[in-house]
Parts: sequence; C-alpha cells; structure tokens
Amino acid sequence: MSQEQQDQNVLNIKNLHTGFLINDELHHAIVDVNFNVKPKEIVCVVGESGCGKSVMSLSIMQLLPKINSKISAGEVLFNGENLVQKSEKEMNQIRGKDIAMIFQEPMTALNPVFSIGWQMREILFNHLDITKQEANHKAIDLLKQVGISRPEKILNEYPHQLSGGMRQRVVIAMAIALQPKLLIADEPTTALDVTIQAQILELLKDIQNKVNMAIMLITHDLGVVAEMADRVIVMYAGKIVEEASVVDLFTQPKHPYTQSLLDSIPKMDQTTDKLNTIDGVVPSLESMPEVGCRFTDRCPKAFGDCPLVTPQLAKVNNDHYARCLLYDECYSKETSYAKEVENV
Amino acid sequence: MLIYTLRRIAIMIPIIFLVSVVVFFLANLMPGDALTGRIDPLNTDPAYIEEMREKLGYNDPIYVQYLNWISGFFQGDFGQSFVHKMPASELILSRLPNTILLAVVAMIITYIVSFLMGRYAGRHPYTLGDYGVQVLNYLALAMPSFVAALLFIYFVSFQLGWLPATGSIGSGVDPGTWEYIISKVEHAILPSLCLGLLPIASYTQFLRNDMIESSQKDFVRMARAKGTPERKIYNKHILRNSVIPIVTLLGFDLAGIIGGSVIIETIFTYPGVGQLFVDSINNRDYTVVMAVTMLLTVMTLIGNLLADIFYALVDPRIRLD
Repeated sequence: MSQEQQDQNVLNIKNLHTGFLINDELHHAIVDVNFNVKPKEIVCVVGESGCGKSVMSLSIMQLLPKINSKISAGEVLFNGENLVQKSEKEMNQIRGKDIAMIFQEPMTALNPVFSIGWQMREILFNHLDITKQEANHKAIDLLKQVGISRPEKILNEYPHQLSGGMRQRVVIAMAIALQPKLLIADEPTTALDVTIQAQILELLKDIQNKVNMAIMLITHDLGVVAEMADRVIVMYAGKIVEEASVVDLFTQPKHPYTQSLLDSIPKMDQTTDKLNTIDGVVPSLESMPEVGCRFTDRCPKAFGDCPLVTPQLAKVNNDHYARCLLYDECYSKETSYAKEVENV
Repeated sequence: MLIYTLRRIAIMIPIIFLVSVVVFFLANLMPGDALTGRIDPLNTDPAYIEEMREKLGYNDPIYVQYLNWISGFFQGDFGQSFVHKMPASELILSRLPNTILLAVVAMIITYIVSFLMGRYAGRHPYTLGDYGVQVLNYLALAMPSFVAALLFIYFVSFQLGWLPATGSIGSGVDPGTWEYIISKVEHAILPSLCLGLLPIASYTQFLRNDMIESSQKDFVRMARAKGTPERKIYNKHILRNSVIPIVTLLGFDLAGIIGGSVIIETIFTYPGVGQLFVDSINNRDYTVVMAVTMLLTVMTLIGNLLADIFYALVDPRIRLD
C-alpha cells in the first residue's frame, strides 16, 4: 500500500495495543491491531464475545475509562491525525461530528429523563452554533431521514415511549446528524428482533449511500456481514486473525477460526441434529498465552509449532491476510502485515 | 394527575380514622387523667374530683368518649387543654409557626449541604475529598441527634458564642422588624442543623452512590460519543437522573423532621409543637397529645402524597393515573 493510498484512508490503525489494569497489572485486550478503513467503505469486524471488538471501537473513540484502561502503544490515525494524542477537548470536537457511534443497546443508550428532542438538539448544539428552532427543524429532518413517520410528535416524547427499533432509529438519526466521515456501529442490531434488524441494516446502507460515510460495523452475526460488508476483519482473543474482502472470506477462508465460524452457521439445505460449534471459550485476559497462537487449544488443525511460535498477520493471497502458521508467510516478522504498514 | 391526587386524598380518610382509634385508646390506656397530679388529693374533696370527672365525660363508656372526641376532631374541635386552659387547636396553632420555620430551615440546610457534598463526592469518587465527605457522613449517621445537639450547644453557642442555644427569639425584639426576622432565623439554625444531620448524611450518600452508578450507564457513554463535554455530562445527564430519589425523599422528610423536632425542641427549649408534645405527655394533657399525634399522622400522609407527586414531576417514566 502506498503512502498516497494511506493518506486517503479515513482511518488507519497502526500497531494498536489496548490493555486493562487488573490488580495493578496491565493485561492487553487488544494486541498488534493494524487495519484501515477507506472512504465510503463498510468494514465488518467479527468475532466471538470477549475477543476485543468493542474495546477496539472504544479505543478509536478514546472512550475507554481512564481509571482502569490504557492504550499502551500504537496510533489511531483519523484523516492522518493521531487520536491517541488528542486532548479530551479536541476529542469532543471530533466525537459526534467526524466520528459517530451507535451502541448495542438502544433501550439504554438514550437518557430516560430527557425528551428525544432535547437529546437530538444536544448533539447539534455540541458542534453547531444554531438556535433552538433551527435545531428542532434539523432534528425533524433527521428523524424523517431514518424513517420515523411522525417526527414532530416524537421530539416531545421520552425514550420509554418508543419501541426498541424506534429508539435505534433515533440513535442513528443522531449519529448521522453532522454527516460524519466514519460511523462506528457496535452490534447495532443485536438487541432487536429479526424483522427490525433487517430494516435497520437496510436503513444504514441507505444512509451510507446518501451521506458518503464509511462504516465500521462490529458484529458477531455472519449473516449481517454477508449482507453489509465490503471487507471483513476477523478478530480472535484481541488479535486480527484474518482480513479479506467479503467474497474471499466466505468462499475461501484461510484461518481455521474463520473456517470454524463459517461452519457453525446452520445450513438451510442440510438436516442435522446438531449444530457445529467451536469447543471451548476465548481465553480470559489473565490467562492469555504469551507465545504461540492464541487459538491453538480450540483449533482442529493445530500442530507442533502452534503453541511455540507466535504467528504474524501476513498476506496469504491478493488482499487477503491471515495469522496462521499453516501459511509460511506468517512465521516471520519480515513478511508480516505490520512490517508492511511500518514501511510506508 | 389531579384525579390521582384526589383519589389519594380520599384514601387518606379511612387511614386517619384508623390511626385515630389507635391514638385515642393508647392515650386512654396511659395511667391517670388530667385531674391526677394537677389537684392535691389530700386537700380536695374526692366528691368534687368525681363530679369533675363526670362533667368532663371521663366516666362515660370508652366508645362514647371516642365518638365525642372524633366527631369534634372532624369539626376542627380538638378538645380543651387542661394545663393551658385553651383549645388544643389554638395551642398547637400558636406553636406551629416555630416548628414550620424549623422544618423549612432544616430542609434548606439539608438540601443545600447534601447536594453540594454529594455532587462533589459523586463527581470525584475514591479521592481524598470523597473520603473526607464519607467520614463526615458516617459520623453524622452514627451520632444520635441529642449528642450532636449538646456538642453544637457547647461549641457553637458557649465556646464561640456565634448562635443562641435556647428559645426561638431574642429578648426585647419587636415583631415585624428586620431584627425580629434575623433573630428568629438565628435561633432556628442550630436546632435545624441537628434535625438535618441525619438526612444530610443519608442524602449525600444517596446522591454520591447514584451518581457513581449513573456515570457507568450506557446513556453517559452515548453522550460522550456525541461529543458532550464532561462538565455537561455530569451536570445534566447524570445529575438529572441521580436527583430523582433525593427529590422524592423531600415528602417523607416533612414528617420525619416534625417527628424529630420532639427531641430537638426539648433540648433547645424551642417553643414548637415538639416541645409542646413532650410537656403535654408529662402533664397528662391528653387532648393535646392526641391532637399533636393526629397532626403528625396527617403530615406523614401528606408527605407521602407529595413524594409520589414529586416523583411524577421529575421522572417522565412515572405517570400517575
């Protein structure tokens, strides 16, 4: 990747390490994360619970609690500016305006004691110098854009008067209010029922087309990935284990973890009594192995080197990266993706 | 809301009625009556005492006495005070303004102090300042109010001489003048502080804990993601949520403070309803005791109603209907 290409990216994450303090010891939840998001692209981040997806999104927003967590290394470059070094005040000008975020739980993401109108005006007042009336007009306009049919009325209502789907629409309306260049959606449909899920995803795609923003969609639902993604990043235990275009990932997954994930999707054309699962769980932060591949214990293809050699994320095919010792490129740092990033 | 309020007021009537039964019979179970102790039995003709008892209705069957009393009660006649030789209602009304002043000052002190302390501790939890606030809280919670009252009197009044320790008004001050009002408030501050000590400690703790809890809510993270400055997150998003339980306690406080004034007014010899209550018990002035108890009952009920109404006012999720 050339320097020029990288400059055009909305987001470049380089060598990111984020850790939590547990009993005064820093345990990394995210290690050596490198990836980028191009303008107008939808990048999906998938993985099981506890593999660091949400920590990564909060690291980008600089929203991790300062008391017990820390970005210990790496850079988050947004439009070429390193967000890790920004002050709280500078971040507040970026949050909500240039990078917006949608959270998993629409039921609790809105403050119960303020009206929808108040909460929508808040994000506008945070970044624009406008009157209350103008803000109301804009809020109504935004609510229309996310498909809410009686926006004037909704403004005076409180979150508890709306359904989950409606609330998520309101949250999305707030997120797109200032036409951000990047939208981070952290499992935006997980808490919603299936029909609403489809509507919300459709809405996100629709809006993305209209306002030209990039979306980083965090999910554990491969169905959502197939529907939405341009590119997919698979995470396991705080590391990226595979990165590929959506077509490549589904047709020729390289990493055994990705293969297992795809295997565990129930197939319409097969009748089985038992669903495929991956045995075991993601190791906890304290019990993360120091060396070797973190997936070794659960991997069906594990062999002698796996617990001994730490694999690197490396290019295994055209624009297809994996972190697995089944591929020779992953043995050496010299051939790794991290090196590639360093060199530009 | 109006219908709800009216319905609640309607429910109050049977409650007041039930309490009145308990109050009346308990008062009558107490040994002696208004004539014992007041009249020297050696120098008075027993026949005269008996005649007075008959005249006052003390020899009637107890339910007749009760019916007489309760029917008077609903007509605003609380009976006569034997000690003060005036209607109990008038007696209470003459003392009530002092107690109300005490309650109002106590509430103002409580809310200002606990709001400031709670907000500070909730905003900066697990810091030195927070620990300091907590030490004060536990001290206030652990110390009985009469001990606190004595300490206040000794240090603030006698050692420092800042505030008066007894009475409700300085001598030689004319009603209606500015000095009169100042003197009234000055006399109310120490007893109010003692009355407020317990609520201050519990509200501070309440507010602090609720703010810490609220600060971890999803909507706070959402507000941060919207670019809302930290100061506004605390002053609006968190505080507005955390203040809900405190505001609703205001209603309960009303009754609590008047109940607490029974002890505090006696210690400060503050001529309010609480002192009257204790004096009346000592003098076996039952009519006044019963009237004050009924007043406390009504205050408690009104307090509870206010608590519910405040709740609906500050929390949009609560709808009373």
